[in-house]
Amino acid sequence: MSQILKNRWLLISALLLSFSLHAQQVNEIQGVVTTDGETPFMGAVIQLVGTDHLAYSDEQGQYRLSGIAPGEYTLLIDAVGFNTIESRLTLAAGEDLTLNFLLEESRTELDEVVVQGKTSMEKAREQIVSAKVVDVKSVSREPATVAELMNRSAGIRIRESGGLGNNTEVSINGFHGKSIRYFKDGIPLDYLGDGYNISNLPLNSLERVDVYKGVLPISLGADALGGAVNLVTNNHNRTDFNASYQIGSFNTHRISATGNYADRDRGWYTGGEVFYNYSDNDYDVEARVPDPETKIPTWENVRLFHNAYKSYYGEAYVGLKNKAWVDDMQLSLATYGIHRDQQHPTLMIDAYGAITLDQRSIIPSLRYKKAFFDGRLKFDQFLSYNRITKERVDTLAGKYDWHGNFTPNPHRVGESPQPSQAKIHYDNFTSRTNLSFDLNGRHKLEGNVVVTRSKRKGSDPLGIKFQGTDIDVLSLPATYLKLTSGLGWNYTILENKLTNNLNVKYYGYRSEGVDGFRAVETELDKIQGTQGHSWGLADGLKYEIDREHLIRLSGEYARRLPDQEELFGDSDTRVPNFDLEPERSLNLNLNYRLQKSKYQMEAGLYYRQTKGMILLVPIQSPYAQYQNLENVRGFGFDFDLKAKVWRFISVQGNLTYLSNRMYGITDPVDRWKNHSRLRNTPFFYYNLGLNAELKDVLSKGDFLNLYTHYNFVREFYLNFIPKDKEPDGFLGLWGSSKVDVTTKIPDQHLVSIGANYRLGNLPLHIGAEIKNITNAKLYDFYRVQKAGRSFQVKISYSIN
Amino acid sequence: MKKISKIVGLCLLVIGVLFATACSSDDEVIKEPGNENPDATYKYVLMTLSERVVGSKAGFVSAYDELPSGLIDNIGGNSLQGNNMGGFIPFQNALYKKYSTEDNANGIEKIAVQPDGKVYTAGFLQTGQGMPGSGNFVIASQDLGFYWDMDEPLKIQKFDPESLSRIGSLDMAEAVNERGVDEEGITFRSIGRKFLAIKEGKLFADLNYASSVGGQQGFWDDFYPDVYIAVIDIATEKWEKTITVKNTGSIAYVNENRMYNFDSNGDLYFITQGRSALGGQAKINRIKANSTDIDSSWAIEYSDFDPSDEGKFTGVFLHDGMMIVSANTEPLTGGPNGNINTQDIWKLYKVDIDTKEFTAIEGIPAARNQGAAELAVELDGNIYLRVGTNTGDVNGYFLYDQATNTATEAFGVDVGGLVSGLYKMKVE
Repeated sequence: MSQILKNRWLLISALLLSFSLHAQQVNEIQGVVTTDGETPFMGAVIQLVGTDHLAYSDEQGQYRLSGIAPGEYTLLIDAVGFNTIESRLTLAAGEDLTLNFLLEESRTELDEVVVQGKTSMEKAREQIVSAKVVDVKSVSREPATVAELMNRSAGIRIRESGGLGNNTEVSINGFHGKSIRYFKDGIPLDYLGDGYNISNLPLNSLERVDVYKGVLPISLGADALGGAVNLVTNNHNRTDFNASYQIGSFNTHRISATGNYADRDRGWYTGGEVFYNYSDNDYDVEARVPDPETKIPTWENVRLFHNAYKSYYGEAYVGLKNKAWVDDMQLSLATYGIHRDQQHPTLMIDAYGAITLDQRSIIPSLRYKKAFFDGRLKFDQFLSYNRITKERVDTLAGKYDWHGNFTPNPHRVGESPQPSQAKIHYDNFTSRTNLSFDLNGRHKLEGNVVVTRSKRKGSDPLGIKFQGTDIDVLSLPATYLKLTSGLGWNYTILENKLTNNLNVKYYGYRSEGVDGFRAVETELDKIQGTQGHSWGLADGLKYEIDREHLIRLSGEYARRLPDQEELFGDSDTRVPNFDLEPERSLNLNLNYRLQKSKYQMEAGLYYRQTKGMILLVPIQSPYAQYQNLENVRGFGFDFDLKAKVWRFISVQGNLTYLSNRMYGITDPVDRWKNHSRLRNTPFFYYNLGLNAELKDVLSKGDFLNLYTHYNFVREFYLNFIPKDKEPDGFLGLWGSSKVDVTTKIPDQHLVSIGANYRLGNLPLHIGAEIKNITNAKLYDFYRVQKAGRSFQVKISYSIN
Repeated sequence: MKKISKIVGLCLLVIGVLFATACSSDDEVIKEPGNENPDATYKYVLMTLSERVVGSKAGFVSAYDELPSGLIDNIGGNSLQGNNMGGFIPFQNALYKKYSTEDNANGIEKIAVQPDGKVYTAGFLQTGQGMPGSGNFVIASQDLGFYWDMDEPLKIQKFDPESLSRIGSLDMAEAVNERGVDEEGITFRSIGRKFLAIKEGKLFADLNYASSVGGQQGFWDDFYPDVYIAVIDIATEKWEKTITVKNTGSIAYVNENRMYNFDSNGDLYFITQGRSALGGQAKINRIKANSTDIDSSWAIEYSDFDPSDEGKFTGVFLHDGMMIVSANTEPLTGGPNGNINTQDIWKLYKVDIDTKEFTAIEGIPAARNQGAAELAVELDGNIYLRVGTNTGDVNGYFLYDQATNTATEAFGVDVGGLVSGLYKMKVE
């Protein structure tokens, strides 16, 4: 019992209940939660079951629920270590209630606590459209990155190209790159540039990450083809503060702080978030180093010397809640800056010592939420306008070798094939409007419209000029306007066991600019434009067999519109193509979930048929162009299991198998590629994890969490090989290819161990982790090597 | 007297053989190695390009005991898969290419074949990275070759083709700086980046004066309207002079398609592609045997083929006074939807060197740009033409009959990609 009490802070924080239904601003319920009639209890969850009315008791034990429509309700008071209180009540119009609660200590063991309500995490996991929910909050004390947490999930691979702050892509069931869209609290993330993403975010910033594998809910307005990632931040309902500092190998420092003050009496809140990342990223890699005289290369272990990453992000906000004219309005001002040293080109075939990349922006935004007609009509609007400035400098007259030695070369400017002094501005406007209307409690309509406009203009004295002129191609603007809209109908039948959601989506874009391709007679005053549109359809069905069994089926005709760079090129070697068509995909997902008190299991099956995937194609050296080229069809499955195997030991594991293969190739020269695996895409991987939670280890009230994670990725190929030359064995999981493939990523094994320790009852945690403890060679992104063994320590402090 | 005559004759014969051997004209490089040892094992090596549309130019190399026939699968258990399989330059018992198979790095790579037919990479010499042409090379003999390295653009490097090691360099700054030293419009200067040829003890190297900046530097941006070629004496390693091809541009290219060839008599023919990617003023030029000067009395202008001058040549092959060239059948168009590398507009023609008459070779269609591949190869006394259309409905090597100017398919490739090189080599 005492152990339960000592863990209440930890578990209460995981009981953040979600807001999902509608409200009516008529009544109020308030009161005090105590443990003995006098001692206030902070952090108890007070919830009106089946509504989004939720509050936490503050340091005085006080809580308040407001804007409640008249009616009959079940009030749930949940505090870990205490028995759940469930109370039926009827609220008449205009009536305010004062309800005080006395908590009674629970006599059950921790693993037998039955939580009556559903946490936001659980709700996310049970939404109609199947999503992989990565619980960030519960592991926020680990010295890990968001990307590492996601990598431990079924069906998800994070494709990294190096250390902290590297270019990171999420691969969902084999789809990655532009097929995947990113969101922050439902808002498309593009307006934040690279300032806010899974490679630089501290864990403290997030509550969870929802990863949609193929089919997206209507509220996420995007033309995603293969899925989406929604970063869900902490809510602003209570006063709290979190701070952490992480120090690690390669001179890595990560500092973060989030804080929120909520004055529920006066209906306002304010807060902010800052984080700073720095790492030299100077880990050892195996590089091919030519002898200075003979130029015969040998593979040597060298230390990266120009791979540093530095970034900061700061956001301050102020908001109003529960006013007559607004339910929630938040005005936010964010800023970020990134500096990155570039150590090598896409492949690790050369060393750079002076190329730098910088990016910065100041981002004001406004979010407004209001419910009308007794809460049946809900309106949610987001607006943002900002300018992102990107700079790339490559002007060095000389070159570095892998040992960091510099050799001047007056004959050439720049280390890379593309010398640069580029400074490019991207003016972004983002508007997202979400409207939902509850028809009768069982039927709900939801509309979502996202409009984004981006204008690119810049300069590069070393860049491409229009043919026969000295006019910088970047100096003439290019614009891109995109509309993503959708209308959804959600209904529930069979005593709320069966829920269906039907969505129709419409996408449109318009882009304008001057064709900068230098082989063309360019009329500089002739603005060229292109536009296109497309329709999509999606349906999701959820059937709750009972509290333990859940089955979901969803399908979508998805579209991805060509983006600005694909249409207009990059004003460098990627040239325009105004004839691009949207990529098209049919995505089907089937998911089954079993939730038991001691274990939970989830299994997923998917089918994909994707046409016209956009690829970069060399057309006339050194130029390349995006074209609709490939068709991919495939299926896959993933399996996830978590179980408590002993009193304080739990295990988790998942595996993913993908069979995405080419089809529809009719050209005789390439017909043999039909049935080949999608290149450069892992097709089999699994994770195993072991956790132990110990209490009163060194002192009364302390808490120790020990964990280890193992990750395996089966070898995969960077280019096509025929299906009959793939490895033998069940699903191709053993052996090697039947042809000598030099462009492959070998089997990879990653083992990490770590521990978190809480000092007594203090809100202070110390976490330590050894990543890649076996110092295995790990690769990603065309065999770019990742760090070997490294050490991380993290100190976290939080008050609620 | 008779005896003296015999001795003199024998001496002349020996000198002639030695001279012929010493000259080691480059046309030997692309001819078959010969059957000097009837017990030796030979392999026919075929390269195919499987990734035409993505940057790495991946593909396969396979070895065969006999010249393939029919429709074949070029991916077997002994094949080598890797990057940059668009073409190769053979020399004796190995293939050489300008990028590494493993990761597409610039340099010189050697590919060899084991007696059991297994194809493997036998060495790599690494050059400076990132600039096309870094690694452009020519092989003079078993133990001497020359290449250009972007890290020392005013030098020509020497290397040992057997061990693939650099063995020195020739500083040619004087040759490069003979002109344009004070020209601000010249953004980059180099020697041997696109054109390196060896003829009768002389090394011919292009002098490149680029006028643009960025990744496209050196492509279709010649500062001067003339093409300059330095002539270097290999024995003394001295620059002797610079010869000029008037009023053209863009000599050769940076890949394994050298765009030059030697006739059986030692005449060197080379392509200048003209003023832009679309051609214009393109031509085939000649340096006759026993000469180091441009043959000013002879050139085939593209306008000799097409008076509109809307095109260029992409390959040339010589044999016993017969010339085969690749030229476009339709005016070239640039831009995103240009036809240069995407349409079947490249046709092989037999050209009469004297009358400059072009005659289309019968039996083969117009095809896709040959890219880094050579257009023809001589094996076992026969000439085989490489033909690969855009879709691959025709994709193989064709046996050429000079008498009838027709070609018939020797074999086609069904699996593995577009044919990009064929060679016969002795395996040890």
